[in-house]
Formats: sequence, structure tokens, C-alpha cells
Amino acid sequence: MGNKIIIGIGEYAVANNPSIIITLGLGSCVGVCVRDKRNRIGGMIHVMLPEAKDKLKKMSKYADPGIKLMIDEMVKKGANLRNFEAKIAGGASMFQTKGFDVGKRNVEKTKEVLRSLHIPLIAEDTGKNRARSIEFHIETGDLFVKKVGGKEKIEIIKL
Amino acid sequence: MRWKDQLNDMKLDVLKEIGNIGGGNAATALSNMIEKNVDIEVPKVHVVGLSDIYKILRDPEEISASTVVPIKGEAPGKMLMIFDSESSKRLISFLIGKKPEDLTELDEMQSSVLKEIGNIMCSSYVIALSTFTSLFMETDVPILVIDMLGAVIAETSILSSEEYDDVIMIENILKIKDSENLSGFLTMFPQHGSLKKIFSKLGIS
Repeated sequence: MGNKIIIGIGEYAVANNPSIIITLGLGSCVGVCVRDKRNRIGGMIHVMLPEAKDKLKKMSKYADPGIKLMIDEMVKKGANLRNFEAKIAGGASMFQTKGFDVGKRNVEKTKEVLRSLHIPLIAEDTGKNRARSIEFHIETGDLFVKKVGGKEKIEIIKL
Repeated sequence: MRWKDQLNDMKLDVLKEIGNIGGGNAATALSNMIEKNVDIEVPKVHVVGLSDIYKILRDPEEISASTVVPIKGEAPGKMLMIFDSESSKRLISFLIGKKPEDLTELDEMQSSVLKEIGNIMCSSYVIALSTFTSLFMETDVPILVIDMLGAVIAETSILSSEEYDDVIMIENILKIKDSENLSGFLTMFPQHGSLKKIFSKLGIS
């Protein structure tokens, strides 16, 4: 077992094998997990909002430019863009708000950023109204998604 | 921007007082509804960075029932009334007799009872606060969310944080006198513009 890294809202982490990156309580936020499958370097970012309007704030809160910042750091650690693949989870609409759906916008923006970086999205669990907690295993690339299921149990699915 | 840098002891005391007044009223409302004694602990004011929210929770993945009540008017914000699984089920049984088995599969009656308890408590809080500050405030339609505790708190924080990197929570812990230990967390999340209004209305700037 490698070390476990827990990231909070609007944070990201980059880690070598073997590590597990965890984030808890993704509602409308999106957990974006990117991994170099050859060199086994991975990163996760907890994206809170789609886009930064001005450049004075904490940039890792936003899909754009947060994802790029994380990718840059992965490349600095020796990862190669050509081996990258991504998995995402989150973007739920927990409070069933009408009109402005941040979760959906976060997912759309995330996909757009990944496309622009030519990183293939190989799995996702997004939308609906349940919150998620996720665990990303750098060694295998497995992404475990925990959600509230029936009978007050937490169900775990593997992406 | 951070709240941390803008709050002094005096302002923190005002926030605690808001918790006292609002929480006291909400506890009385609950006590009247279920005809049991409800104790209230001294309110706590948390000023937490958004990325540290999960750190202040004992078990962020605990399944609980939360009523989210938006505050409208001159000082908008959000209120959350959270009961853990066992407390939620007991509360439902106090009011309609039968205790549900599964919190994730409540029928319409059971979930509306729970939502209404949360709604009445949050509204009592807001009415007291509105009277105390002489600012016009009212509550909007409540939403009942049964999900992981950490996610509900994080989501509410995000909605009320606006451009801030941290969030203020005024937390009340309620204890219900019963054969079992029942408790709930009542938390108010003021928006930053609202706090400025409240502070200036009370003569602190």
C-alpha cells in the first residue's frame, strides 16, 4: 500500500506510483483524474467551478485553468502527455436547482479542457443527484466511486 | 479573499449571538413540535477554508438527512438542519407514529414530515434573526437531501461562498431528551454582503 493523499475542494495533487489520491464529498464539483499509464504518474483535481473570470484567485478551483496547472506539474515530474488518459466523476445536482446547473457546466467544461489537451476520457460517472467520494489508484488506474445506495449502505463502483 | 482576515473578536461574538438567538428559537420550535425537551449547546462559529471542510467533520461519509433552507431578503444566506439517520427516524416516529426502516427509501409522508421539521426550525431561526437585526429576511422553499454529510455541507458552502475561499458556519448542536441520544446540527451560512449589513445595522463596522 502506498501513501494516501486526501485533497479538498479546489485543490489538486500529483503523485508517483504507488499512491492513492482521495477526495470526499463531490456534489456539483468534478473530480478529474489523469494518469500516465506507462510512467505511472497520476493526478487528481477537485474542480469547483468551470472557469476563472479573473486571475487573482485560487486557480485550482476552476476546470480552466486548474486542469492545465495539474498537467504541467505531472509533465514536470516526468509524465508524457502521449500516455495520458482521464477518468472523471461528480457533477451531480444535489439540490435539484432549477435553471443554473453548476454540476453540468463543470462536467462540460472539464471535457472541453481534456479535449483541447488531447487527453482521452476513458471512463466517467457524472450527473444525477447523488454525491460521490472517489479514490484514484495510481498503480492500476482504477477509480473507485462511493455513493449512497439503497438500505443506507455506501455502494462502491469501479471505473 | 478570506473571511479569516476580516473578522475580529467582536464580530465573532456577534456571530455567536446570532447562533444563540436563532438556535434558541429553533430549539423551542422543535420542542413544541415533538413535545420533548430540547437542549442547546453554546454555538460555535467556524471560519473554514473551502478545501478544509472535510477536516472539521467527524465522519464526512455518514448518511444523514439535511433540510436546506435558502434565506431571501436583505441578508440572504443558507440554513441547514441536519439529523443523523437514527435521529431522523425517531423524529418521524414522534410525529406520525411509525419509525421508518430505511432513510434512503422514505415515502412521501415521511420525507415531508422531516422536511417540515427542518423548515419550521430554520424559519424560526431566521425570524428571530430578522427581528434582532431589523433586517427583512424570509425563507424560501426547503429541500430535503439524504446523502453523505460532507457533501451536503461542502455543496452548501460552495453556494454561499461566492468569491471567497473560506466560509462561515454558525453551528448549533441540539440534544433531544429521549431514551436514546438524539441530536441535530443546525447551521447558518451567511453570505458576505449579508454579514456586512448585519454588522453595520448593529453598529459594528
